[in-house]
Amino acid sequence: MPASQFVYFNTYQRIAASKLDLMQNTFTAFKLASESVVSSTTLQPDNDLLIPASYLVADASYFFRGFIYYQGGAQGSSDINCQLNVPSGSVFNGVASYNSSAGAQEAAFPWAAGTPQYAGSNGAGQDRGIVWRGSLLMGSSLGNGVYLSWAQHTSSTTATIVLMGSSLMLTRLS
Amino acid sequence: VPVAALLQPFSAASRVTAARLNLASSTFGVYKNDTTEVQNNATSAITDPDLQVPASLLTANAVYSVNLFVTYSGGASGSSDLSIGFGTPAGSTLSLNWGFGTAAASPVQTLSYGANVVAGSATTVLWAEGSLILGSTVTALIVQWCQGTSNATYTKILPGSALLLTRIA
Repeated sequence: MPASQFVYFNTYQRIAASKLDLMQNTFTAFKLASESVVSSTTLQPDNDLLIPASYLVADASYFFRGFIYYQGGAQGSSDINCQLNVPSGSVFNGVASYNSSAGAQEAAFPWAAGTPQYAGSNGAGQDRGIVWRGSLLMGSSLGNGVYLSWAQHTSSTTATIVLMGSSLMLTRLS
Repeated sequence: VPVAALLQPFSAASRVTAARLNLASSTFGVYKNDTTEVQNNATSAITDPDLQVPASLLTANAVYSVNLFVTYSGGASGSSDLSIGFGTPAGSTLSLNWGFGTAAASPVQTLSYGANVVAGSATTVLWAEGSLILGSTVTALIVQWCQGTSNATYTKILPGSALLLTRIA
């Protein structure tokens, strides 16, 4: 079992920088402004949902939590296409809960990284959410960090919008 | 429950005590590096050797947010599957929401509140989130599992599974 990142201080113990760094083991990218895409199925990096390489540690393991809150056009003819990008040589395993492009409520479906995954939108102004959980085992490369790319799944003149409040979160485990 | 103790920010000239630092260092967990497998076992849940948080990391009467992610494999869905739950300290309360695929077949999915679930072999990933309220007894929090239906094909919990706890009170 890998060592936990839990840090424990005893009274009068020196507060070392290394221990403080281990305490800061959760990194979050939070979307403060909504972002729109119209009539495009070309994946583009989200403006905010990026955990930069400088925050990551080679060979470390992380618990991943993602929440993508979005709107779009009519279900099945717009939708959202998402891709989580992780450094080469790393291993990501994930599961997502979402509405399919047919509207079915998927409670637990494998969502890999590096591959587009899509979820249904429900018409302009209708909010939907994707809850994405998993783990990330880093290799030696930090690459371009961990970030979300997205676009419409089917081109639509109704905007697909990733809403303020969406987030990506990594918590280091070892 | 001393919720405020965890939420109090440091202020200028605050004394940085070990106790305050320990409260701030409240998120921890385990990542599974190895495969664990069982066969012909639908009745005797094993304790996963990796997916457990030792008693030494837990605090009596504390409250934790719990996140579990499991990647697994098994025999034919409906005739093998994964039966999984937690073993908890006596006197504690574990409240969970599970997301998993049923034994019927992918893509049939379900969500369930409860202590244990039987997840089909077709989807092979599941999650659980909830809270753990500890009483005065502190022992390890452990993930326990076996097959849903006894089968000679191994049911395996795979590397990449992970368990995360965050103390919230």
